Amino acid sequence: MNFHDPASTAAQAEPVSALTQDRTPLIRFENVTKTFGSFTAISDLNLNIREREFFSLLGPSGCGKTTMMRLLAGFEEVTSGRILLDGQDLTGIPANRRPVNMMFQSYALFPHMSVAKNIGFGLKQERWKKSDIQDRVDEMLALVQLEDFADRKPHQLSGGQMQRVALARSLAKKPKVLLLDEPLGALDKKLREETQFQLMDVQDRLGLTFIIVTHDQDEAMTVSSRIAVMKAGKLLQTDTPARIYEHPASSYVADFIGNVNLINVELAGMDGELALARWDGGTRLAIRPQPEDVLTPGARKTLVLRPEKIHVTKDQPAEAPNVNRVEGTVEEISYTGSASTFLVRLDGGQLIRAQEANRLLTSRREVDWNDRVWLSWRAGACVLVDA
Amino acid sequence: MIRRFNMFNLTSLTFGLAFLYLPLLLVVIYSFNDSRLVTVWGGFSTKWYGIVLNNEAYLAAAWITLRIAFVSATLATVLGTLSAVVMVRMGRFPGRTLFSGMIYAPLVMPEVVTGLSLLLLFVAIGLDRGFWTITIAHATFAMCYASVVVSSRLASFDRSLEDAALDLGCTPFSAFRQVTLPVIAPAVISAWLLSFTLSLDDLVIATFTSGPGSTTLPMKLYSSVRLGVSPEINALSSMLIGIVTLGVIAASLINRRQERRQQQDTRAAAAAA
Repeated sequence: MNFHDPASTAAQAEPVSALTQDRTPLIRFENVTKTFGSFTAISDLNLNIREREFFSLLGPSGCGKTTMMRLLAGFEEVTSGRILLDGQDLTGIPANRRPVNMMFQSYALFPHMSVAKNIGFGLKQERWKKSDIQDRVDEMLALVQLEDFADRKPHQLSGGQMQRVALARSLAKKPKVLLLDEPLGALDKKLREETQFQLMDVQDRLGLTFIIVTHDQDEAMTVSSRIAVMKAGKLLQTDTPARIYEHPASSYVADFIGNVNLINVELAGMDGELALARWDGGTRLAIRPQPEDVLTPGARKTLVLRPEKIHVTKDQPAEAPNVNRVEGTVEEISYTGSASTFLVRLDGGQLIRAQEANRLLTSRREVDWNDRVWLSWRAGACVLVDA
Repeated sequence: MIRRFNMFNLTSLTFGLAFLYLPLLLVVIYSFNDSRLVTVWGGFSTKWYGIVLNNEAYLAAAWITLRIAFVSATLATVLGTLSAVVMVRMGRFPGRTLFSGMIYAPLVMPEVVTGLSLLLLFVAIGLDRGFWTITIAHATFAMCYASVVVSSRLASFDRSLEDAALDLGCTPFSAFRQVTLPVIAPAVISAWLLSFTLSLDDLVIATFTSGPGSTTLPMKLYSSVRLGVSPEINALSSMLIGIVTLGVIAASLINRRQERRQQQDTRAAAAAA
């Protein structure tokens, strides 16, 4: 690649990071509010989704993520604000005339039609020629590897097959945006993981914009280029999976995504580049602050510390200015195959969750129940959020 | 649950069934009686069936009855399906309870009251009583039954099927025609069969709303009985029993097949989950 010619680099396939920046958004939510009677499902929400993104709406049930999707599909109308797709205001355009298709959580396959008829249904509505429909259906069947099932009825298919038919049907009309409502919720774990990669592959090959609604954080982390974490009709944070996981904007986001230790601290001052904070017991902790952090001495903050960033050892680790060390007793060990999680009661009474990859066989593990252990983590392994 | 047939269960069953069906059985048996005397067995014969089938008056009445049943069942099914869609789909709207109450009230309304009120209405608006007044009257009360049958199916209908059809480019009406209607078709058909049967054997409402030249079979039967029960009445009744039984069996078979398919789908979905 020639780095001195910006024109030719722009034509190359861009990395995901470039996709998430500096592009006119394909979809804009502008001050969108949706109420059902006295219940506010979405409140004054702004969001930009760019072309070719794999975007996740993540949140607990009732947070408004499904409503966002139904607003976009046209099954609900916004109460105020507007949604733009490719510059076009969608207000007043009914679901059947939007260049958006949806894959339903229940798959919603038409039970009285064969797989082929299901996939060709949208094309028939657009009055495509019979032979063209046939070609497109064949193409879609090949895409989801169901060539031999064209004449089956939905009830003769397995769950995974139904899911693939639903995907093929929603892609047949070449929508600008594909909406996926908990697409993998009904599949078992193994199949779900396989299907996640299939979805990413399809999205990549067709160059489409996918928006997925899910309450499963692992799924969102795996498939998305960006994730929007929602709570009670509001967006809490919109960012790449890594940013969301490692630099959560609030303790709620930190707690919602993965396991976490949330430690309440009081800022004490600075030691060179490191911020010093006091923990309840008086323990001094060193934290490498983020550029955007506002550090007022005496301010109460919450320290976000992921379990896998903590090292569990029997021997006291060497002292260093950028290493935090605390001592405690192992209360519980939970074994999950690839890793073990230790629940450690500190001498000050606090419970800390630490995770170690099982590099050795469990029988060789040196830390056991009720052992005295040292927990240590580096100043750069944790972040501060507002308490 | 007691699954074995013990003496008590067997006796209750026998008595219950006898209570329900012995009178009907007697009618059917005596319709094959060779004797003119209704209550004296004179040997097996099918001659009364032949006589009934050659009786012009009976045939004319039967023809009218079938036409009324056909037209009113069709009307009732269309109206009942529409009202069921509104009831199940519209969710909560002002006056919903009142509306649903008004749809189902005629189910428990005494037939005499229904018949009388319809008669008053037809007289008031100056409609000549005959084929159409009976048809409208039958459609009116059969519609409630049709509505109950269809709405119970619609209640378990997956709404996202319709959303999917809209999403793929259907207008609301074509989504209903191409997706909803085919899926609920068995319920609609059994609603039609039920309405057809109800119209076929109605006497009270037909009596109130009929006019000259529109005597239905049950009316004809009833007026003949007042002159004395003849063996040909038994034959006619047996034929009616046969038709109604077939209708009810067909309706329940269709319903059962649909339930089985639904169960299959649910099982498949559960297996997939």
